[in-house]
Amino acid sequence: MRKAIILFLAPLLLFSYAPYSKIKNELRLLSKKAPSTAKVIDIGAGLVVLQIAEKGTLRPQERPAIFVAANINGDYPLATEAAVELAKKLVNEKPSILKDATFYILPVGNPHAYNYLFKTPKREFHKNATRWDDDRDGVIDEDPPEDINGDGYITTMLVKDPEGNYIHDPKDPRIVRKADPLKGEKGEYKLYTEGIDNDNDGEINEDDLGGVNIEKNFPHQWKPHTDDGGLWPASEAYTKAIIDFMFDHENIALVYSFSKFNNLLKLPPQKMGKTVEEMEVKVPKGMAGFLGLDPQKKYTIKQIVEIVKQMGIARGMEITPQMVATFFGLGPAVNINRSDLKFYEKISDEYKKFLKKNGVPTERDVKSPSDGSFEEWVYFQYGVPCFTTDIWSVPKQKKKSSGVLDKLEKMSKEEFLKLTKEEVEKMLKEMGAPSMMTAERVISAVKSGMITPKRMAEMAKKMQKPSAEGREADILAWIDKSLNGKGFIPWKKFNHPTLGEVEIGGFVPYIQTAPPLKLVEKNLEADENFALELAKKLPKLTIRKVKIQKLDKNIYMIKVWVGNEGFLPTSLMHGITNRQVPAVFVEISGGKILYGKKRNRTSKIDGFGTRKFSWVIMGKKGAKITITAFHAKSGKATRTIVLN
Amino acid sequence: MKKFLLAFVILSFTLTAGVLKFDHYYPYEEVVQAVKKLKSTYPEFVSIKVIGKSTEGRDIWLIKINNPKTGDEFSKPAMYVEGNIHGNEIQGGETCLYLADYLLSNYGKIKKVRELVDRVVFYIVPVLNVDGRYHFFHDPATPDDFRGISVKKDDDGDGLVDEDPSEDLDGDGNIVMMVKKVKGGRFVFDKEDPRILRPAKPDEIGEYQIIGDEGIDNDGDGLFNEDGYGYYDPNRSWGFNWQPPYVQMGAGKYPFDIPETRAVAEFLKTHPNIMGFQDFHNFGGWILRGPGAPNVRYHYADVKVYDYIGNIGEKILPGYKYVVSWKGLYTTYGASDDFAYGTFGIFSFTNEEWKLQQDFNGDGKVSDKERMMWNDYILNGANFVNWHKFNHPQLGEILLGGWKKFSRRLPPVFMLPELIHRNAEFVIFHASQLPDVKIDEVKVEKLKNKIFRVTATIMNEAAIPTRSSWPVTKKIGRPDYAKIEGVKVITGGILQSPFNSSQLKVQEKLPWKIWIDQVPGKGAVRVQWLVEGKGKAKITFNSQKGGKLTKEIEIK
Repeated sequence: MRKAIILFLAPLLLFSYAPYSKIKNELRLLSKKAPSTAKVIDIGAGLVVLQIAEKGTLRPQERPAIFVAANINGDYPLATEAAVELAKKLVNEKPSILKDATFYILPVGNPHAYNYLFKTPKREFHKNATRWDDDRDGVIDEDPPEDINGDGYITTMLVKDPEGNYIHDPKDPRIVRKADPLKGEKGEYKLYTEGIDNDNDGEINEDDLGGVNIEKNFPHQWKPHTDDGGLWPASEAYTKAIIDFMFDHENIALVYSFSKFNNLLKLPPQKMGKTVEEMEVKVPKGMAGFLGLDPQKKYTIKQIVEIVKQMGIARGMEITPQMVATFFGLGPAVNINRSDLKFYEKISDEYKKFLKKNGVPTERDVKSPSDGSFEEWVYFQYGVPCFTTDIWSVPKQKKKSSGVLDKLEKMSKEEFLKLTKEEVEKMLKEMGAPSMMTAERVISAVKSGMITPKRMAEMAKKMQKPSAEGREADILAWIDKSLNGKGFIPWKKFNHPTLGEVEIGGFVPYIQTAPPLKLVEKNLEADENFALELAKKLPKLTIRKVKIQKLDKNIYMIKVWVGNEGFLPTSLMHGITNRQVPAVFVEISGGKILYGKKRNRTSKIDGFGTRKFSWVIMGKKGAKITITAFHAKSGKATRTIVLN
Repeated sequence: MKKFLLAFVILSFTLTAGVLKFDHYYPYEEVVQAVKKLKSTYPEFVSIKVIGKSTEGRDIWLIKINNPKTGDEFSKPAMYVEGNIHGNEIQGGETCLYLADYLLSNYGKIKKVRELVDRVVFYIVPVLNVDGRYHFFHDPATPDDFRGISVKKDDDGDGLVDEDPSEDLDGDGNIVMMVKKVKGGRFVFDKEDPRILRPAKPDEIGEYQIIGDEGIDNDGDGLFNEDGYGYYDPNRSWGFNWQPPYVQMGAGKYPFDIPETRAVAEFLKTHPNIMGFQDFHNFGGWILRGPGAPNVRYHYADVKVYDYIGNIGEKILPGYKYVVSWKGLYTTYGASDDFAYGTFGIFSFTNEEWKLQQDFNGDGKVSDKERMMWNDYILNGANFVNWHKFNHPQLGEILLGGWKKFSRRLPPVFMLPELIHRNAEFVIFHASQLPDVKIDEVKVEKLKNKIFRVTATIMNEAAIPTRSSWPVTKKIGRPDYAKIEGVKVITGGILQSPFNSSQLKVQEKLPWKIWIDQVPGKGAVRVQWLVEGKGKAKITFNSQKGGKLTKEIEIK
């Protein structure tokens, strides 16, 4: 029987998802197949990034780039699948955007955790290999869980205990939940992960293997003293490799992440606290005297910035609200800057439309990126927009309306057969009929008289159990409907070496994070393709116009209009605030400058915007003058003119 | 008189008779020699080790002082001391070397020193920013140069990196100020002391403009020396309450992305016996403790211990003020002392060594004139480069002049011995308060035939607890434990009241090994077991930061 379960479940999980070594091989094969397009970059700590760019006027690292990061947490194989498929698609189809933009694709951010998908026994795992004393007893990783019943999975163990407060849900005994004393329920079980007390300290599996969750180890709003966030921000080799790669590739102008979060369907909520400009402080006495302020009064940062600017004491340096806030020790930004929010809103709208067009539902619960995550770090510290999607999640159970059954019950055979195939399909779906009951089968069964509409309704009503609620019920409903129930290991008694009789069972590991791909095809494809939509939004420098005006013999006025052909500005407001996105530089060479700077800069050029630069130069007729506009994240444009 | 003189000679001999002489500041190379000399002079107590290579590849040395006869390093509480994390703040290096030399040379002479060295391990990194110290000695500099780490940084945001450093135009080894005569400039030379450049008063016509530090405009952007060496501040790189550069100037990509502080972080991580931490900076006369920023609050019970040590520190170091960094000085994210306490619960101080002593009129401030008086009457003018004409390749005729690099932030050498001794004494006092635990008294009561009640009092005679209260509440680090071996344990726990055995907080699981959150400073924890059996038994107390000890008892 145990064997049977393994055989029964194994095919469900092991198709299509590939171990990390295979993924690396696949990327290497892609780069071999198309060496001028794809290149594997080893970014350290065993992580790899595939660079994809077609031959164009600029070198790949000079072009605006989109960094597609996947599965930083390591236990979300679906995210890796999306990244690998996107890489293949780009290399095989070579869309024209690859001439202007560079893609960097990171398929896995935590390969150590990712490889647990392919281990036996199977268990969900999201930490790295860093040794960590979870129970602080001075011994490390000494009590991990085990597959004690040998079914190939580490699941959940229920132990009858007078102090237990869990019960099997009477509506669906597969669900184990806390007893609700208000409903007169009394707890029966204690809940453990499957395993034994390896170190005989009376606790079961209290000091598991590893480690740190990389999605909690990034330095923006990192939290100290958590179970799996690490000893300090970016303490882990994976985290550092990713950050170093991004700082070494300054051309990354946008990040698209396949993660467990989603900020495209729902914008992140505003965090507690005011924006930097709105924060209020008292100005210390000495400083207040200097600025002509009242040390007893509170001023907003915005007011102080204005006063400092008026006094002209900044000596040409740009005084930002964040600088002033820093001076007063007010800490980092925690909300998306208001002037950046509009880009997030617009792209979110487009994303939803894109999903709808591709037949993917947009109404579902999603999680916003959390403190210490890669996604939050990208915007707040690296300073570029970051969009993230969780691709798919187990759908919420629809409330089964008995209305449709009542209607069916009253229908005659003739009435039923008048319905179109689509209408029957819709009805079956509303009834929550199993997937094997296709419209075609049902229609032919009614036609042949094997069943009447009335009988069908009665049977359906009988089958319909009072449904349990909550997330677990949703997952079970989905398992029943889409996987014929093969995603849950039924509770089964087992004789535990120290605890005596226990029940072992629960969800098959990775059932939600590595679903059968054919069930999520549409979602995957839409989210993969949206990467191309995002790449089209990248900023792109261009020289729109050059005007030469002869002022005198050998003296010319040169005016240049530098533009941004992309939707996104060369830098978000926060990229300027956090001083991570460099300025746009415009340089002139050839001739002697009489008026103007050789190297001009502007902190940003808006999407589809233009900035003018001018010089007066001295040069002989026929001399070549070259104007170069460049920006780390928006490419480079050059124009050479001849004086005449 | 002769007798008195002799006594004086003997006294000064006992105080300074180490193997190192502090009659000058040590360049990096000499610091390394001094480290090696300590090892060769005191081989039985000292081991030295390179804990890391700097950004430019120099060795970062650590001195370990431990008396192996009184136990290995991990069986004792330890004090970690470092100096010169800021490359130009060099006297921390001398303080650290002096501390080591003082402890070792006085081990056989002063009882208190001997007791301390027998009980506590010292880990000393005299110079952390070895590159900074190297350049500060060997390259032209202002008193403020080479503070940071030479991580390439685009300070002025022009897309170029370190392209406009300052230069020693006249080749005198100092980087001073450049001033140019210009009508309507904002500065004038003072009539009374023409060395002093000061802003023009409303009724004066300004004559001079300050250009900046000595040097040329290398990148032709009209600004002078706006993008030089670095700038990365190693004392903004520690991984507790760390913030990126837009919030905390001088920070890098992430904590410990430089080898210098990373080496120390790894050292602290692998030496859980460290319970005291001291960092030496200059200047201003401060004894600082964290938090460095207002968003963190230390545990109130630990603050009491901090205050005790800090207040004594004010007496050891006259004129120094003991303050909380962000309140007393300014906000800093990612400083070393915050990291040591926040991450590991280590009691940590940062001293800003050298309090200006030029306040001649006693108004609490040091004016330019007083600074000049000090320079004239105490140092015979040695610290100031007088204004002199220089023909600048870009600016034409300018004036060069100002304070030399070994001025302002550093005491003159004749004052160095007192400064380093007093600061070393502060460390010694802090170290003397590291947990001093004894299994004080073991009471055995016979209850019935072979059933006994054993009560062990674990006493801490020093002010610092075996674990600070911060890690207890934050659940970091391994708690202490007391265990009994040799008898069968029925039950056990911690006695909540010394007078009443019914007030026992029972530990149900594995009662032979009782987990203890902390043994408070100047306090006790009483562990009680109900045991079965007679004969010899062994009680062990084991604390990561409070030491390890055992006591044999007889149950009868």
